[in-house]
Amino acid sequence: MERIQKGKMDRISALPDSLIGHILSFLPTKTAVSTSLLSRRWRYLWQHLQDFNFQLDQEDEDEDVDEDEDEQYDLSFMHFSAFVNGVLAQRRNRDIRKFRLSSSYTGEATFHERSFNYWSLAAIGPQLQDLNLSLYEPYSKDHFLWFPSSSVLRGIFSCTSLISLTLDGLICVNKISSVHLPALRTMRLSIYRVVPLDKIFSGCPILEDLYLQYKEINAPKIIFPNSLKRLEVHNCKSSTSREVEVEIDAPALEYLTFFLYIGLSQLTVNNLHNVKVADLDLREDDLDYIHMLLNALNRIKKLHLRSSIIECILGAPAFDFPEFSCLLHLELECFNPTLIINLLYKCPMLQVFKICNDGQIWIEPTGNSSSWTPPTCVPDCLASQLTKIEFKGYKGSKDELGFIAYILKSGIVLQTVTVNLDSLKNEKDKSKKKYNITKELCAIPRGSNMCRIEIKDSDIFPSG
Amino acid sequence: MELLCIRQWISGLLPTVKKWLSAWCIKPVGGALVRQEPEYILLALMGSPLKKIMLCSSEKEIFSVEEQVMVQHSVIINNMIEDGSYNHEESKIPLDCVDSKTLKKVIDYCTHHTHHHNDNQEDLEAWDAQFLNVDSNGLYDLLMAANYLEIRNLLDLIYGTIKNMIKGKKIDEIRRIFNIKDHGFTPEEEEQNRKEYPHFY
Repeated sequence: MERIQKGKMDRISALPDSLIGHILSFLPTKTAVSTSLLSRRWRYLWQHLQDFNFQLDQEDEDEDVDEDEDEQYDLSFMHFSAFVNGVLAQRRNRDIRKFRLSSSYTGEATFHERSFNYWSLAAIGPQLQDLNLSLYEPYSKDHFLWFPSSSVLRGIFSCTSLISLTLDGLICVNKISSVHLPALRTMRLSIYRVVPLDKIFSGCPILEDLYLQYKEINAPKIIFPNSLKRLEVHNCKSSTSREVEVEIDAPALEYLTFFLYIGLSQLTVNNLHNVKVADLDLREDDLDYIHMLLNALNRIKKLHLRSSIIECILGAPAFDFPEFSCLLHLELECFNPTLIINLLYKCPMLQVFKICNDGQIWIEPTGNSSSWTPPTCVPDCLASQLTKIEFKGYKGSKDELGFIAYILKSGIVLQTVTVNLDSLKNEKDKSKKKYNITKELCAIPRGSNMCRIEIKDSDIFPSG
Repeated sequence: MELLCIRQWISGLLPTVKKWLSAWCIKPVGGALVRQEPEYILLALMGSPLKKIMLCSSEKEIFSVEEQVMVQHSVIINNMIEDGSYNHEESKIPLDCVDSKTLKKVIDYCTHHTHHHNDNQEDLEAWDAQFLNVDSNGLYDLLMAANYLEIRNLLDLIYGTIKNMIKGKKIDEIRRIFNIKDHGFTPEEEEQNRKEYPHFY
């Protein structure tokens, strides 16, 4: 939105230097430096910046795309390198407070490596609070990996002023002599390989927010810091199958996202009673661990169980869920009415329930070919608390219809039932099917006067 | 229910309510509570007034606002109240660099964000966007006021808006938007700049 002052003063240039400095620190450094062209007033203001944001990626491409791809990318990085060096050389403030470097082109390997090493060393200083290094390749060329030099690693991991650290992409951290990060609150590690995880965690006494994404784990044991409030672990599905021992003891933990696709050799969980929101996906053959984890999370308010963990649970038909006495919001990535009802019995306060059935899990065939029969005893939450239900990936099968009918009849306080039909998008006779389903659903008798049924189509594809 | 029973019942509930409120990061000051349903009903029954403070604009207009609201947002006002330099009975806080129109806007912002603290993100962002729908002069006045009062989230909001006015635009366009009429460069300097960095113009 443009605001043009009609015939008035140039108020932005009249702002004090410190405020203009703040405005510039919100801009990508390239833009901030270009303000020196605006007027005499602005010519040297950027030089007092202490926050830098250097980005080299596809959008910055000004050149023609005619040249040979390799050469073109190398040139881009060289220009970028000259720019970063120029800015760092001309800055008036020796101490950098925020440094963000994001490069998705690679040049010649040694030049690249040296550039990153020198730039990181320039950033490391007594006032560095926020460091964000992100390296990607736009296409799979020869595999480039940056192994930060030992002085860089020493500098980063003993930076006493550092509050937030993000390392992302083609970076390898193999060995660190010692880790001392007394001010670090946020850490995001989504790099190619990081070996000394336990050393890193033990050197961050007040770490609150941890995001960890990895393909392979070389450490046999991971002990997560006990100061954590927010933990997100993403283990890529395509990882080498090596079991790992995990320990989580975090009394302050409130948000847990735990995706683990390699087996666990051992799991220890303690003090997870403050966790409010959890999103879990585990491919784990030993159900004891799943049981242990769910038990530890029994005071949770919002729970999301994804396909792998549900598959494991379905593998043992007598799985006993703990009582989730505070659970208000539940999301399941499967449709298995027996499992769902078993779980609903254990969630007396549940208000919102979502099913996402994208067809990954098969309903276990029961002994005979009869379909699911509704239980005689209505779960407490259905009779008194459940107000909102959403069903994504509804296909209109007999069991699905039977289940929805049961819910509508027994859900005395239901307000909204949303059925999402985007799984039909690739079928022919789509609109006819949609019409039939809508008719079926609206004909079901409802136990609640306020209950409204919403049929949603996929928003992306036009209905036709 | 008799009045006595109601009062007893409420005093029994008060510790729980306080615990509940502190989970929402709203500190009750003394006996006063921030006005939010159903605590307001509780308050009305107990008969405690909401503590207010007086802010005085540069045009000598006085604005009365809930203490809790300003203390939550403005570091300056919070410090003044905490170190006791503000006397509730008599004094008002003079804000000589903030005019009435701007002060009213600032108070609006703080009040809305305190009372709607638990709204979802989208609603809050929509309100913020509407709030900043002011003319350019108003925007800078707000910026200076927020800077003076040290209201972090309002500052970040305004910086974000100004940043979007600059980002991705050419120099000529930025000059036009911000009314930078006289760039102060000599004609040779200006020509040199245009030759050296043509893609910025």
